[in-house]
This record gives sequence, structure tokens and C-alpha cells, in this order.
Amino acid sequence: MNLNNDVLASRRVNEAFAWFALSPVPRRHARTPDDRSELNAIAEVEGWRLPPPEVARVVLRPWQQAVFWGLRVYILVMLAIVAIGFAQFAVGK
Amino acid sequence: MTSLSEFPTLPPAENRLFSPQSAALGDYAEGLEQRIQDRLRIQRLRASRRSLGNRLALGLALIGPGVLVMLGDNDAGGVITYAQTGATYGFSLFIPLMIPLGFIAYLVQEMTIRLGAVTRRGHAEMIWKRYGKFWGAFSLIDLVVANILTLMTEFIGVRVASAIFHLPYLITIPLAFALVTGVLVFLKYFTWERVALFIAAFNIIFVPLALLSHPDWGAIGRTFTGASGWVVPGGLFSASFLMLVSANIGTTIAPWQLFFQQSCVVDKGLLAKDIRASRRDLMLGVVGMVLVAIAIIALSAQYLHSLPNASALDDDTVVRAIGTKLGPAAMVVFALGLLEAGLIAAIVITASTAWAIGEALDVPRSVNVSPRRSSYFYAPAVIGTAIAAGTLMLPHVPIGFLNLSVQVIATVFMPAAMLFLLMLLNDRELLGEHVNSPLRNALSIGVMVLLITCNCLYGISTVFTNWP
Repeated sequence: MNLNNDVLASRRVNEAFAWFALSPVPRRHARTPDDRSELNAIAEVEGWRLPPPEVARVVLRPWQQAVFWGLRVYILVMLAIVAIGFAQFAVGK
Repeated sequence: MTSLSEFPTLPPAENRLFSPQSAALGDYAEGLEQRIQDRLRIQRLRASRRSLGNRLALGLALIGPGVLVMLGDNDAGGVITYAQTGATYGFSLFIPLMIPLGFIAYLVQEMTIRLGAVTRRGHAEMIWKRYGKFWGAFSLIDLVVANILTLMTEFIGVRVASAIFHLPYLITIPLAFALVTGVLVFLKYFTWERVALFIAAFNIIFVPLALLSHPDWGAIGRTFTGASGWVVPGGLFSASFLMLVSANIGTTIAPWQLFFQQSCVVDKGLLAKDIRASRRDLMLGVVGMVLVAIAIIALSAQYLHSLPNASALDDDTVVRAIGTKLGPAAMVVFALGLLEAGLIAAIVITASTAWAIGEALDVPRSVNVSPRRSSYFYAPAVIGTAIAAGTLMLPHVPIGFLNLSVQVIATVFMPAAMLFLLMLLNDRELLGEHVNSPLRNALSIGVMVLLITCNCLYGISTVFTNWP
């Protein structure tokens, strides 16, 4: 019941902002059978019924890991330097 | 300390917007149905009669992530950085520099379009899934830290605008926070995007303001030809010059932009066939970003150049100086622009945090999903924005230098973020024919080297104050 109330409230908010859509397309959420068939058709054609392609895990090569660790060190050093700059400014140097 | 394996365990599902069983029956998960409806809206406009109104509606429907990321890039911190730049160096090489910086922004952001449209996954999710939790957590921590710091600069804009309109910031900052988080939490993607674009459009207000302020067109022209000599007081290796260079780069490309645009492309439901339209959207945003940046630098170069301690001007000084030189109406317009810049950037940065954390935690991660169904998606972003807003409600915050420091910090995080992006964009298994060309790789590596070089020079000049 709460979930339904949430959905209804969310719809009311979105309908209140609907004029931002600037589109001639009907904005009401009520769907006609035509809408549903179009929705299904575009889902089929564009592959929305399928999950996104799987992404397999790869292990970073040693040189890539070295570069990333180098960038971590670089970030830490630069953050320290920005802090020094900030402190120098704060004491009016 | 919480290890990655201790993150909350959630029901296993792939992308959780998708429900194969229900989709087969023509019924879709809440977020996915909204996304397909957005696709249907665009398809109907494409199929409709070719009238001017329909074309305009189609054009408006197709713009979104690119314009938002680039106009969001001209945030309150960016506006003040541009003003500090113009006030410090006047009509200088920084004005023509904005054009190559625009190309750099396009080069970097275009990669996120391809990656998002082809893989249908956000940036954090790609790093997390492809390279594992360890490296994924590193990139996520960088993003969240940079986002909270950047959000502080956005609330600086709100605070300064409040002072101009004689409103207490203890009221306006919480109101701004409520607006920024409210549009994310309560609106669906399409409406959220339209509201954000409506606010972003006011970013252009700086262009007519600059045009009406009788700019010195001759001086602006000479910055492009080099006739003014491109002389930099203090030298090319002075700390203040290098910091402003780093800050200007930092306000043009930042880690949140990578995460934001890729996730935005995914949540809008853009596919590989929409890459061309998305590139046009991005180019429109880049043109807007460059025009606004040049307008602010030119305006401040003409009217604020003589101010003392110009490189650390705070927002309030900038806005009041505009009022002194150009009158109260110009001051009000500038303050409104600053307020808008802060709001739009806070809206998009908050969304980037939500998407990135949602992708890392593998929870339903779409603006289309109701907050009750995905509190793990919304809550961290709301908390991050609350921290930034709360900080700016403290008295005596050194606003001017905090702003510059944050812009520099954004460039510090950028090379690591770009390296992940480049690795993913060269992954033929993921992107197939959409992988980067060698030229694009060379240019991207050049950008990374430029970022690191500027930062290192700034670091050297800060630590060794008598250098060179």
C-alpha cells in the first residue's frame, strides 16, 4: 500500500513538472493498448528485453598497476601541496 | 575499517532494472519501463511529420547529457575562477585558451558517450566490473571526495547570491539543498533532465551581460592574435599563473563529468545508434561552456583588472565589484548567474555521486526508480551534498582560496580517472568498432601529461616559493 502511495505521489510530482517536457507527446501515465504494443515493439527492436552484455573481469598487468600506484602517490603528494598552499594563504604569507 | 566485502549484501540481479520474466509478459520493472517510454517518445518524434515544431521538439528531446555536463561545468567555482583569471591577467592568453580547453573537454567527454551507449553501463560500474573492487573503490573514493569538495564551491555561489539579495544563507543554503536533492529523488529521469536543462539555460545569462557591458572588442581580438604580447606578469612559472592554469583546466574537465555523462547516457537509454546525436548534444554544450567562460573572463578583465589580490578574490568581492563598476542591475544579474551556476552544478554532481555509488553497490541505479525501492542509490548522494551544504553554513570559510584549491584538486584526480577511461576505450572486447583511434589516444595521453605537468609545476612553485 505504501509503495503504491509512493508511486502515485511520484506521478503527481512528475505530472506537475510535465510542462518541462516541451513535447507534443501525451504526458499522462495512463497507457492505451497502442502505447503498450509500441512499448513492447521498441523494447524488442532495441534489445531492452535482454540484459546488457556481460563484462568479464580482467587483471591489470604489472606495469598498469605500477602506473596506477604512481598516480596514487602523485595524488597524495599533490593534496599535501595544495594543503601547504592553502595554509600559506591562511596565514597571509 | 570497512572492507569491500563488508558492503551490504543485496539481492543478486543483473542491473536490477531488468526483469526477464516480467519483460517477456510485456510488463517491465519500474525504472526500465520509464526508460523505454523515453525511447518511445523520441521514436515518435522521429516518425512524426517533418514540421518545424516537431523538429524543434525532437532536437530538444535529444539534448541532455552533453549540454548538462558542459553547462554544469561552468559551475559557481568555475564562474569565480574565470573572474579571478580575468581580474588577475586582464585581456590575456586565457581568453583564446578557452577554445582549446573546449576541444579538450569534447575529446574527453565524447569517449564517455561511446562507452555508455555501447556497453549500457555507467563509468563506475565498468571500472568495478572490469578491473575489480579494489581499483573500483579507488576511483569511487576519488570521485566522492572530489564531488563533496566541488559541491562546497557550488554552495559558495548560493551563499554569495543570498548576501546580494539580503537573504540569510542559513535559510537559502538549506533551500538550495532541498531543491538539488528533491529533483533527484522525486522526479523521473526525463522530467529531471528537463528541469535541469531549464536551469542550465540560465548559464548563458553571462553572455548578454558581457555584451551589454560595452566590451573592448579590440582588446579581446588582440588576445587571439597575440598582438598584446601574451605577457604574463610574474612569469609563466609563477605559482599564481600555474595555479590559475591548473584551476582553469580543472574547471573544464573534472572526474565527476566522466562519471556523470556516461551514467546519464545510460539512464536516458541512449544506444550506439544515438552516438551521433549525443555528439551534437555535447558540442552544443561545449560551445555554451566556452562562450560563457570567455564572457566572464572578458567582463572581469575589463572591470576587475585593477582590484588588489585579484587571484584570490572571493565571490562576494567579485559580485560587489561588478555592481560598483556596472551598476546594481548588472550585480543582480551576475548574482543570479552565480546562483544558477551553483544550483545546476550541484544538481548534476549530486546525480553523478548517486549513479557512481549505485553502480558500485550494484543496486537499482536509475533516476526512474522510486526512493523507497533504492535508498542505497539516493542516500549516499544526499548525504554527500548535505556535508557540502553544512560546511558552507559555517562562518568564516576562506571562500576565495578554497574555490581555487578545489579546482586544482579536481585536476589532481583527473589523470587516474582518464587512465581508466582510456583503458576501457581501448578494450575491443567491450567496444568493438567503437574503440579509440590512435590519434584520439595520443591526444588523450597528451591531455594527461599536460595536467600532470601543470600540477607538478604548481607544486614546485608552491613548495619552493623563491622558484624560479
